[in-house]
Amino acid sequence: MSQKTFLLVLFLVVMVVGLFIKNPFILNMLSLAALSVIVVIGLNLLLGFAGQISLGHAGFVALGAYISSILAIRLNINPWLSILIAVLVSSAFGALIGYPTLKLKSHYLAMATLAIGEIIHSIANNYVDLTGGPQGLAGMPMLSIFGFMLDNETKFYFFIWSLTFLLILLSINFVNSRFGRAYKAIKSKENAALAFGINVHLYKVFIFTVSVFYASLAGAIYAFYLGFISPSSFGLTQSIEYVVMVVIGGMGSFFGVFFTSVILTILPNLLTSLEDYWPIANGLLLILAMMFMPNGLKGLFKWIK
Amino acid sequence: MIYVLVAIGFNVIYSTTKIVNFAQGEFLMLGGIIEFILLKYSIPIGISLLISSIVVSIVAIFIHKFLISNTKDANELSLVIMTIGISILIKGVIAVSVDKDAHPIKHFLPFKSVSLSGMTFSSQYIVVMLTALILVFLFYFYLKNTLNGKIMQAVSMNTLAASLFGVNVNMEQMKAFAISGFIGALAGATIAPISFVQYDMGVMFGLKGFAACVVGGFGNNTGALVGGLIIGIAESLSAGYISSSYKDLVAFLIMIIVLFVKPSGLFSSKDVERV
Repeated sequence: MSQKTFLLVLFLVVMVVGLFIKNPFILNMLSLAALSVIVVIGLNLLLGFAGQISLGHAGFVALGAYISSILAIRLNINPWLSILIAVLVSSAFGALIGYPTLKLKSHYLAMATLAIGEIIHSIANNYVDLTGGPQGLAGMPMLSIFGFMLDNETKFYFFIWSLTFLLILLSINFVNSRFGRAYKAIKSKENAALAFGINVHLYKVFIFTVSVFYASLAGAIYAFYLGFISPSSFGLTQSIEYVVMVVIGGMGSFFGVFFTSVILTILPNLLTSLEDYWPIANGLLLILAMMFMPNGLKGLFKWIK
Repeated sequence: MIYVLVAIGFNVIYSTTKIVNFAQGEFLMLGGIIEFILLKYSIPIGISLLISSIVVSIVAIFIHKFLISNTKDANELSLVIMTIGISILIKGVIAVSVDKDAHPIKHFLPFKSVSLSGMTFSSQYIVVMLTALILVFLFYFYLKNTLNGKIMQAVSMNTLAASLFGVNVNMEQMKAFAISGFIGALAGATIAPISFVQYDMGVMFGLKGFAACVVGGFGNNTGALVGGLIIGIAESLSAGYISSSYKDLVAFLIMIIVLFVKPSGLFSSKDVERV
């Protein structure tokens, strides 16, 4: 089965599931899962195809969420326009960070993004006038498409999942295009790719920007979906969780990443009493994955075959 | 000054193993936490310092022996992810087994604050300064004047050549982890009275130590000394003149400027590879 037919089947399954579930709690959870799929697909492009790691993706999600809601609330800008501005500003910011750090080895980007994530988190916490501080920010207007209000969980579910699948399709197409093949070349032998005239640095900056784009888009939609954001949803733990989702799902595998991010978003919501133990579980998962299955679940399946 | 110690901790591991240890900040935190627990049982400061540093060194050795050297298909990316995993694992275990609160630790010296030409500051700063100076001096002495230190330098210059000369590279790497854990824990335990101990204190120290490394040039110990001082001074100046809530930003701003202008740092790092 080719990737795209599988994607179509998955899309139909998700849509049918959406028709049957009426419980708003589950719908809400699944919609949040879709948002984390968007972030993780973006991070997967970076980690799986460019071999670079970002530890501040929750920070970029926060950037998208805060910029768009501040624009919409304080300046009364149309929600869609403010989402657009937020995403563009965040991507530009990502490119600015990526440009110097991606010239160097991968831990520079990791540390720089870790720092950015912490900075955004602390600004969101401390700059109370603008961001509402730890209490968060509320009162985002509802989104509507051509006068059709997205005002309940079911409508949002369909909207978010359609968007998610559109973005997955885009990234699959991207990976299979000329550019995607260039990234494969970079990953397998960087010097060879360089000799073929691929501008490795520029390509890396580009894919980092794309992944920041995905993250901030997810953040902006998250803000308008919940109508409330607070710094606590965008901490370092969240960034690490995104990395765990990609690593366990298998770097570079879209569907492995898809399933792990859905599962790892839903599980903590069901098992809220074990909240304190999640960091331990995440740490163990990362260590074990690196020691025994560097290709994640994808590698495990291949190995069983 | 504390950033100098963190930066040297990074360097020790990086130069012998080519691993950037994302758990370096956690070594600091562990040092502080263990000291806090020991002090609660009213064990004298000197002994508790020693115990906490030794325990953390053992933890570091354990990390290298069981986790890092058993990693399959070890490339740079997987080792980075690995140490991130170790770091959140340590943090998670401490958060669950001790607690998540910030704990104060009493000052090491009997008097609380010192006045010097009109400025009053906590007496603990003197302890931190002295510890850092002594450790840096000892570390330099070890590297330059003892056989073991020279072997370690040889490994960091050329691992293959050193192993051809009969050096047990694995052993040297383990030693590097132990030294780094020791320095980290001591740094954490001495800074604790100023900063309080908390399960997530490691992140910020780790980040700023890394910034200090970048400013000075990764893998360069003189650079670490200067970089740490620059970051520390810039931070306190900005806390005084601009606002203390933005002092965290300054370190990263300096780091990013250095990355833009001179990615090899002030004292050219020996292995920044431009892509």
